Amino acid sequence: MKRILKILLAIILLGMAVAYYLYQKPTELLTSGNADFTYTIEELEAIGATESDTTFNQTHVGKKVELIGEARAKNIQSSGATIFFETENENIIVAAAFDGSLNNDLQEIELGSNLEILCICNGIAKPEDPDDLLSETTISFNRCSILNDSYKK
Amino acid sequence: MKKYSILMVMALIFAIGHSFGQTFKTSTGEISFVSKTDFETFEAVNNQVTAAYSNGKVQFRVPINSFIFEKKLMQTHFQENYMESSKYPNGSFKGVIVTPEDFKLSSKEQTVTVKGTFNIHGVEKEAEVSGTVQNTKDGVKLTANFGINLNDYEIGVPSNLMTKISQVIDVKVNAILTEK
Repeated sequence: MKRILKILLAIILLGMAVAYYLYQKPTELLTSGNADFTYTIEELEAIGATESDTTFNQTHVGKKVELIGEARAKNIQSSGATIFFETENENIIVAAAFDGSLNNDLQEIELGSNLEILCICNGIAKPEDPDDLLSETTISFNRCSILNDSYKK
Repeated sequence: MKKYSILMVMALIFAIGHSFGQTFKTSTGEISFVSKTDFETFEAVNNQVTAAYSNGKVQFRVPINSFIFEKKLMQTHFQENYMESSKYPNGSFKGVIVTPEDFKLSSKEQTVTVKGTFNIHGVEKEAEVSGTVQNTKDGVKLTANFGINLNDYEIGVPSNLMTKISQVIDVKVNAILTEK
């Protein structure tokens, strides 16, 4: 009986330790592993332009997406950075956010260079009505990691 | 002389029209929130807010999955259980500055009230939000602090977590918009 109690206590303690570990586990700030989708920016633009936002979001939100395209602009702040890709349609914005720990690498990115990144898709947002001030379609990604290094100056 | 007068009037009309038609935008605005209870405090930050200002009108759009939490489990619960971000991936606010009534952009920081509509978790709700607007050398700076009541937007929190998650979440917005 005493042995069973000891085993039960050990199981409970182990369960509590696992629960504590899972609760305290930090958010992964860089995406790794295999991509669910791989797109060039042209392909992504085409999908974003033709699919409804509902369809696009149901398929892509929360998924790992590898993006290949040309860096058009960057915004680097201490809390993190955003790279904007060159798009054929100026009303489509593709924005990829990076954790601040990658700021040094991102400083080295030359605008116009080709980038390959792996990110989590946050979804597409299209203008809700013709009077919207936010008249652009935005496809956003975050927790991105850089896959190539040919962008370096 | 008459020719010059006509030119001056035309230039004046153009200048007035230009200042009224100016649109300022950003895709890198910041929004953060804090939930504070006696048992737990947590916060999340999002640097991917798109925002626009034109002639007293403001609009914000926030990708929900861009909020970063310190703990992975909180982030997962926030996205999947509370905000249902695959179904409602964006939150938004669209409004008009109602006070001061004769609001004009200025290099001085002005406290304003914006009346508009939030769309969060697929629920639309009218609200008045206080904030500041300032025309700086970097662009138009917009800030706001307000509370979001989870019940108003049908964001359900399991009863066993009621003591850990505040019913009203304090939200802070900070964005610098440049002319487009």
